[in-house]
Amino acid sequence: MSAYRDMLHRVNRIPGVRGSMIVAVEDGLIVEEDLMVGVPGPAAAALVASLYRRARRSVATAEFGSAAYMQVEGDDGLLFAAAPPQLGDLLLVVIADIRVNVGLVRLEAQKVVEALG
Amino acid sequence: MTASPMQVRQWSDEVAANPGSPAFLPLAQAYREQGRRDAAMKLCIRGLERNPDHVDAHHLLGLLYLEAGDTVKAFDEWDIALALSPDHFGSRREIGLLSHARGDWGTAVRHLERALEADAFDQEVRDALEEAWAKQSGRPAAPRAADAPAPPPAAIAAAVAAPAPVPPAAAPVDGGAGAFDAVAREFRGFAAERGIAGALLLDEQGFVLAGDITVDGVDRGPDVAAVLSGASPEAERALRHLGLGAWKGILVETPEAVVRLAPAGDGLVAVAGTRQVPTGWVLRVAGRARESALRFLGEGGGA
Repeated sequence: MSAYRDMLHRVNRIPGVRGSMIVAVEDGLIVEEDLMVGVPGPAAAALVASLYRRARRSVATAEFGSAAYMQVEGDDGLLFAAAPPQLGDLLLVVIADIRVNVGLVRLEAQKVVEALG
Repeated sequence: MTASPMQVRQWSDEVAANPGSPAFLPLAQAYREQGRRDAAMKLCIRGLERNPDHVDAHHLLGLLYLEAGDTVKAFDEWDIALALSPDHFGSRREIGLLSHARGDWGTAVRHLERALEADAFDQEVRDALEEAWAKQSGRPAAPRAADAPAPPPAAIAAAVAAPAPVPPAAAPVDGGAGAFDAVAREFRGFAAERGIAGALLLDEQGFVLAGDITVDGVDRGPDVAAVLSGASPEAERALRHLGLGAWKGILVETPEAVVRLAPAGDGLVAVAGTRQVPTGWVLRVAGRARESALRFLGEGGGA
């Protein structure tokens, strides 16, 4: 099992998580995925990467540094995108229901990324 | 102008050889003129996968969705086109007419007025705008050009040469200078709170209505606004595509700052905080800024 796959499995154990992916920031293509049936991975990857790029541009414009984390909230769920230095030009994307514990997802994402070294 | 069969064949060959070729757009237009809307739609969608910032392709795809009866997707495409290019009058015209058809008079007036600036002779836009103004002010609409008796040729020439119709005087509302002053004061207050670098209220076009985000003495508000204004349709699209409901907000964190963006009626609120305060504090200030924005926009301040 690849290091990424293992990482996604750990994140997906959190109740409310519908799946997670490793996505290339620049082209929005999936590098690794572990999603529930029915979650449209390629479309989600492309849309989240595009949103992340816009967020990154906005904080760079304001000279706030590089965007390390983005969270998009909807009435029925959430999207997370983490861009830690350990992942280079890749994003860890998590798709979750509204009942998910946001803090837990962030904590677990941080732990698994740190484990990558 | 209708494309010749030779041109269509040439574009078709170009697209077949290179799916990213810009020839996809005239080819899709030609297919649409031939009534081959499904083929035109597929071409646009495929072309946009490779050229996602192609404004005219978003506009054409919107027209195709409209003709297929899908007004929601049509609106999305024109909204994206406007986010990419606020001066794209074709998309502004269509959004204005669609808002008019939906009875969303305020939005219709905003878009149709600007569409008329590009083409003062567009009778459909003039009629829709007259009606939207009348509905907004609660007065009966003037007869539409199509309903009126045919004028003599000289009158037609005079009507075409006439300047854009003048909006009826609006009844005074609380959204005047007083409301602007109040919301500007409130946003200055949010920016002055502990750990907050700035707060902005943006209109749906991405223009700053109130507030600023000052970094090292320079107001970065308009620059940030220009980038963020397109985030709203993108977030909405992503969440809807994934079945996650209507969008409520975006949070972006950097090692130095936390930025919160949230929809407020037709506008957007952006609040930036430093890392000297917890994320939850920035979210609370953003929540109050949103309430202030909704009050202001609800009082007609954004109209």
